[in-house]
Amino acid sequence: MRLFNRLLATIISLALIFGSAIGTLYLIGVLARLPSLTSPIRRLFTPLLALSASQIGALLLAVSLLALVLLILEIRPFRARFVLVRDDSQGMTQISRPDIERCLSQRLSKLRAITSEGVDILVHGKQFDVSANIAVSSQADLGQVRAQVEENIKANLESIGVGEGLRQISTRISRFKRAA
Amino acid sequence: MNNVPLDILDEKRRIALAIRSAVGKVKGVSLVQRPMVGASYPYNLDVPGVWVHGPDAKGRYGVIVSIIVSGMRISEAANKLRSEIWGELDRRGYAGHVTSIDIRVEDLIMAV
Repeated sequence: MRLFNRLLATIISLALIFGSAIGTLYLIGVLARLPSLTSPIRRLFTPLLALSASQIGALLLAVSLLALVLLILEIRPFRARFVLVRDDSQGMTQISRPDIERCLSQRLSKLRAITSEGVDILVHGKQFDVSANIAVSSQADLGQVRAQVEENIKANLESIGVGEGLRQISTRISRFKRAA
Repeated sequence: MNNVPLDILDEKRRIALAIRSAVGKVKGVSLVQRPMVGASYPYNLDVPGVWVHGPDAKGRYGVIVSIIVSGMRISEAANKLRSEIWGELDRRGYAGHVTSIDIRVEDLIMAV
């Protein structure tokens, strides 16, 4: 999703930069009385002059909607940097979420049939709600791998002392796609 | 920027030093510096990794300690560290000045 946001932001930014550059050049052309500079720009925008008021309105609405989508995507809450594992009158204990994900991924990639590139672990929520996307080799038994992955995640969270916070593990397993 | 009374800065510094001393007593735990938004203390380089914030209306402080844990269960390390910190604050007469100790584990260095 971040990639989509970036792509959209890049397109809008490039359009704004292009528009500003054209506007600046046109202004320079008008001020310096350089028809060689203003006429190509005017020709570039001639098709826009042929548009009706409703067509221009629709175009502006589309651009506004695109910008609104980008704004909503950017301001929605992203995952917290820390996972809460204890909270009482003496204080909280929190663990860095990316670190837990890295730790679980490293340990999972040591399992048979799983490669380090195939593991993608995401921890959601204040308590651990782990989702794991795993790509395995074509010979592997998917059911067995799923059980092994879930067991491994539980054992590893337990081994670092945070097993109690685990709520659920959702696992998606797919076969590794090899280049022909 | 508001002027902070010197006694508050000094008290924060003393609390932070007590915490550093407590962290030094727990094996497998070390402080790690992380910049925090709005933090006035960590930028004083006396004790990187410890943020003493406040005081509140009652003149008490909150503490955030950023640590690295190596080769140890997190819950065990955090509990041990918290009790060591409370003990050290108590010995130095600051336990009544602190409301809570939040521990942030920034990095897990797995020994196994």
